Amino acid sequence: MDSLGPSRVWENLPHTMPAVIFGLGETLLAPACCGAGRVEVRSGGRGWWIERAVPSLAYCGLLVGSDPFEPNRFTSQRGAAIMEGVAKTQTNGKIERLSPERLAELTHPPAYKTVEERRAALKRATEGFRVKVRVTPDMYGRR
Amino acid sequence: MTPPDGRRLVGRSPVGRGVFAIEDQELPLPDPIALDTSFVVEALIATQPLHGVCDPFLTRIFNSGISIVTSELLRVELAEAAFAIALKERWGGKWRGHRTDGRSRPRAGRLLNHTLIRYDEMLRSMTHISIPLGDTASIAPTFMTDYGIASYDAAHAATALAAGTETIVTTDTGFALLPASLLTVYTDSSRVPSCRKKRPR
Repeated sequence: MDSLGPSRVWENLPHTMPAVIFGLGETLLAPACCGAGRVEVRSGGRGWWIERAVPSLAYCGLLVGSDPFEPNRFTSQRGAAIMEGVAKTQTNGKIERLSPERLAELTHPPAYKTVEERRAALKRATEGFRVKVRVTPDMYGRR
Repeated sequence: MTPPDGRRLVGRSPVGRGVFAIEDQELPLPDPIALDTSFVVEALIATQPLHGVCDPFLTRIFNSGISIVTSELLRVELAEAAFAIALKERWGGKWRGHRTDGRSRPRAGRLLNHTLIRYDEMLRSMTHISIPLGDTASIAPTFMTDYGIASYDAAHAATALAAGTETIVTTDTGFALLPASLLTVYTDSSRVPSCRKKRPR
């Protein structure tokens, strides 16, 4: 067993996936090295190639146990930062509605229990507030 | 979204362009409905020219029992308006140049308290959803760059959409820069033509 340990297993990469992984100065065509679809990283043979590509695999999140959102010894903070940037780009321009749970958090029921109390509160809010000037939109930061 | 009487609720019609007059007593009210600062200012301050239109519409919202959606930005804008009222009362048209004048601040403070107390009373009277700016920060700039809408308008529009409503009540025609497929504008009848004219084709 190599120094990377038995937990470093690269599995379930579809054979048809044209995943070309660049790393350590060489290019590794992933399906060609993954005949059984589940490859343990061992010293020698094709495992040697995978071992050389481990940083790239980890960087791309293709290594079992490597979460692209979790920095590891190869990616440090870079992977997480890049994925965060991608996530922001992908949501850009789309309408993001808040989840029902979040909306429930932000929803406040009427503070007054009876309809009469609520009606009186609304009346207090909207009646009798007189000022000497006309309020224009530029007075609250609009055009 | 079609109400029981078969009338279209939101503006997809090429005639209406998603802009409707709040004076129309038959105007359907979606639940929830978003309120813009311009509408709240007119509704709360009795001396405003559109108070006679906005106050009854707010009462109609109250009577219907629907929820209202507001951005947290609204409270800040109201405070700014109250401060500016005090300056404008003292300095007239030159109020912008006297912002740091301490003589206006006591009056500004009282007006600010009056305004926010009334705003809170309004919120307490019905179910309301208060959307923090942080929840709309990602979409508001997109509205600005895609449609040329002003930043504050973009924040309020994003607030409405984030809360799941496609309708905002406002007296600011700037919201009409957004397409009708995105946001329906409820405004006073005098602004309906200009809003429809602004709608992107």
